[in-house]
Amino acid sequence: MRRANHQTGIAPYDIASVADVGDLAVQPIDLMSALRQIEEGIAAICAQGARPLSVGGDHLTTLPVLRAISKALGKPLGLVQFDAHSDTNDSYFGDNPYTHGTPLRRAIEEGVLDPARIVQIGIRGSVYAADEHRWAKDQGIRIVYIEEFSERGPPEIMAEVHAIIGAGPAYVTFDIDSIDPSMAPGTGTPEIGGLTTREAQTMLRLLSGLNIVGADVVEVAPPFDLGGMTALAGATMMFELLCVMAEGVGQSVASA
Amino acid sequence: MTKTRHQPIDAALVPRFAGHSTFMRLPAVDSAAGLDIALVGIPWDGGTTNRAGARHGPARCATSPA
Repeated sequence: MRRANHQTGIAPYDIASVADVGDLAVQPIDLMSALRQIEEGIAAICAQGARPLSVGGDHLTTLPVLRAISKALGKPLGLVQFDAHSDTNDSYFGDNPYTHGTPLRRAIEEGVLDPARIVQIGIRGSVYAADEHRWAKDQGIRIVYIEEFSERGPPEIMAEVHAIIGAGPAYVTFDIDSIDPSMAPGTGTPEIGGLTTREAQTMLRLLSGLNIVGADVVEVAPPFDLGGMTALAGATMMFELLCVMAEGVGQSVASA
Repeated sequence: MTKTRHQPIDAALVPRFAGHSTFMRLPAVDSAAGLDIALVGIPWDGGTTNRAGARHGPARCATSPA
């Protein structure tokens, strides 16, 4: 188990108090109750002055987490999203508004996210219509498709992320399907042509300096994994997120 | 309040494959009181529209040798 980041030099456990508070006890049967349980669990963490770094779970779990943090801070959040999919669809299978393809749309409608401070990176998922991302773009979301990422590279993209997110509170959500399925096959909705694990690590390290109030790694689905490689990628991205979050904690203590 | 700087279990003392599974091999605590950052699993995949199974994600990430 790594204690420090070999590239950035950050030793998260020396600058922040970090521990495992266990899993939220979410019942698997009733969707609306589950969303309430998740929000309450994260709200309890926020009320104690800690920032949550969670592991899902599918991407719908991010919605109640965002609700809880936004409520605790009393303002909408910015969002940096690494993902193959925009997750801004309206509904599925009729009029079902809550799925792992809709959390961003609900979060914007509910006012827990500020769409002008959202950047999505790695988007390439199958779309059902050519203008499927129009709603997202109309809200002001900056979508960086994988092709643009590939052409411009991490430093340039992340400089733009910093300009968009600014100094306000920001949440980081890392969907493991942002990574190419050759490196992370254990996920529910794989899409080829994705980030390498090394590119993802580089990108997460370049989050340094943002005011990160919470983060998650979602969509690791072990039943489809091979040799644990997706769980390894997920846990390692969690460590990278922990490093930039701990760095932020250290800086806020130093400036207090 | 002085905060505890929890450290992961040293894999040179207790092998990575032994002991309790927690995120980053950090102590398991009952609440987030006193923490700056709380590592938490959300084992739920009721919003999945395609291949389900992310409910098992937290447990497997905690046992991963990252």
